[in-house]
Amino acid sequence: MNKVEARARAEKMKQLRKEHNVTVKRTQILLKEHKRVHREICKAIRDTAKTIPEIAEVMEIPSHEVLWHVTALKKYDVVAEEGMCGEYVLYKRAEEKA
Amino acid sequence: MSESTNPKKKEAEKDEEIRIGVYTCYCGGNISDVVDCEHVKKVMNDLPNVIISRTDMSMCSDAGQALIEKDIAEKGINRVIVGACAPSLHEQTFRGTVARAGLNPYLYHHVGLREQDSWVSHCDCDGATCKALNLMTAGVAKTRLLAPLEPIRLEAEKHALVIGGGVAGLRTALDTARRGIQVTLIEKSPFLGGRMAQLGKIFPTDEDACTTLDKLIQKVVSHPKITLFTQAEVADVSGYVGDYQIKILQQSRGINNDIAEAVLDANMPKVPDAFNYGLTERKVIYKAYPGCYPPTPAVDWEHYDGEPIVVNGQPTTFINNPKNFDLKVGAIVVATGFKPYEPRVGEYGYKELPEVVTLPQLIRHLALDKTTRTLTWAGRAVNDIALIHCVGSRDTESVHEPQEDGQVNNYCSRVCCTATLHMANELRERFPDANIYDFYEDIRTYGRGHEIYYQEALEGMVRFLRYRGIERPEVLAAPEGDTHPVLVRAKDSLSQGEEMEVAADLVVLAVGMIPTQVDELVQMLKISRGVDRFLAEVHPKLRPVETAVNGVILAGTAQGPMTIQESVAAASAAAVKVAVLLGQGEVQLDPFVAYVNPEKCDGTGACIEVCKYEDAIKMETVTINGKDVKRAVVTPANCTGCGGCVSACPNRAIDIQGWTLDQYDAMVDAIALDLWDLMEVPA
Repeated sequence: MNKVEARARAEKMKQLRKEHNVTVKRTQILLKEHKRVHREICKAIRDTAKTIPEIAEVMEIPSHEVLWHVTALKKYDVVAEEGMCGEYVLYKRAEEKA
Repeated sequence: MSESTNPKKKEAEKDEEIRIGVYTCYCGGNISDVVDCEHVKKVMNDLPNVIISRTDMSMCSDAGQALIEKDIAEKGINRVIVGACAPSLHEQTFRGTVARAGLNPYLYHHVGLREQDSWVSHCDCDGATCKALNLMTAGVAKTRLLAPLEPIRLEAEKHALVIGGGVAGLRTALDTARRGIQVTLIEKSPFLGGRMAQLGKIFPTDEDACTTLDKLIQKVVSHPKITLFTQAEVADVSGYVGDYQIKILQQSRGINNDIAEAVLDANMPKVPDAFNYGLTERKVIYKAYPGCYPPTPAVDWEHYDGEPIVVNGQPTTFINNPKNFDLKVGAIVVATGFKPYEPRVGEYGYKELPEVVTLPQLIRHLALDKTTRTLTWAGRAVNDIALIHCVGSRDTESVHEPQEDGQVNNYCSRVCCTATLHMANELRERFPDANIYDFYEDIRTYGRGHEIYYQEALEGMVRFLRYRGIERPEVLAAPEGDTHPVLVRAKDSLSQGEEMEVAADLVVLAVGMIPTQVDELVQMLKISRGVDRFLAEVHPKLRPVETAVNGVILAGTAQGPMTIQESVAAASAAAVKVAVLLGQGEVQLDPFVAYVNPEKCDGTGACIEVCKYEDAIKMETVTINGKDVKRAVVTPANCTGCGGCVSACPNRAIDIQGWTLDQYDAMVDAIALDLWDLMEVPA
């Protein structure tokens, strides 16, 4: 990368950072929506362990989206694996605080 | 090991505050076979603030760590980056290295070059090297902004809870108490001893299990720092490492010492005795075995029907009054043990043919009559005994029938080979005329002194027949009029796959180990299980008895199949972990949690609205310039450092310590631009 290109990229980065401030509101809405979805997922698996397709059916959202959320919830110990149902992992809520 | 220095730069930056040492690990070829580590080293050496850049075959080795310590001492390095395996493996190792050299351990940054780069890009060496340069450059950019951090210190209760009164729980309790820590030991059943109490002679010492166990129990119950509760289980857990609040639910024993002896002579209903795996019956008020602890009998509340029982001529009704009590502990040790695999009805003829038993049942049968010189079963003398290995172990997916939860037990239970050979030798010794046949897939006598049992069995004319994993022996009822009740058929690979048929009087199934059902406890503690359903440790080599939850530690066969010897070793390791954790009266947690800059915070509460964790962030009123204003405040012990709040704050007022937005910006800039160019381009 030559100096001219580096300057151009640096300018672009500055521009992006300015625009980033505008995205905070969007991020807040997105995170609140995630929080709502996470609550719904926890509710769905509070009493009975369910697979990703089963949660997707209850939530009426695509399986890949459910998997994305459940993976995050598992990372932070909100849900836990609870054995298998055929080839699918069963998930259950791991704690009451969520 | 090679080194590249930049003398001019070193001179120029002599008085600079930031002095970075960059170390690129070959990982024994795991990284260097794909990534050009020498090129990475050379490029790193030219980056700003980098004083020295080195490579090494294995940075995590003692020699590799000593190199870092030496550079810190001799070259004044005050920030360190290592590009190596995943941070989960060795980040803590190198933090320790840095700390030993006198630096703040958080002035260290770990770059994953193996899992994140060389292993996933092994077909593209140039691409992998380019990615390594980006990752390491970003690492340098972040490291330039690292600040010393202090771990979060939480007051810790010098009190541990041990769950499970088997050999592992007892050993953990004793070893922990001997280190000056108060221990509460709870056992779900009315008596101590667990599975070990059900054994006879134990390998590799051939001691009597109960005699050995009794010595340990006596030491435990007489230790002043150990409090014991039987018929007790965990009802609820809250809190965190150092400060767990536990609710215990304890059933009544139902019997006081005044009637302890008389009650055992009374007439009352009988139930199958689980201690003898249903081979015998016991009364609903019972002692597990002679000499058990506590010595007072207990009421089996599951089977007692509430009807009066005549004791000393008086009709007596026994009432269960469960009680709840609270405990405050700093750490929890899970020693919930295992249970023997119970074959399905019909599996090798189990429960269809009375001559088919499990190895634990035979052990109890022999223990109940230690003097007999003639083995009898189902009313007939036993001359021909077939032992079958790997029952409920080493199953193959889509070949063998899955368990109730849909999984197959594909793991090796490790203990059963030696246990089976130990039994074969005991049978040979006690019943010299018996013919013993051993059907095995592989013999795994891996422990010290275990191979001797195999040699003894060979010399003792135990006849070995080797089947292949997917062609397991078949157990059939013999045709009417046959001299034996059961036939065992197998293709013996030791004789080129010839089909062998053995007529047997008794078939013994060497069943594997499966974990005790502790679903509720697993949920309460938020710990994980492995694919084999046993409880999972953080890392099999580096943190073998710790769970991913701080302060929750594993001991014994709750974690996987183990011999008694291994269980006790694991239990002692667990005790040491508890002692290290609680011995100082405080626990330290990594400081990677959110913090608020009150000067930037304007109290919007956006962080609280998106936070998923209770009490992690709250709004407090503070006085600034004589005015009461609301400001967000983080409770570090309740924060997981997920970062949701950071992205929601409109003022960049909240950040994660050690992973700040400024550090992320620097990393992005370093990847998007060239760090050198970035340094030279006017802002």
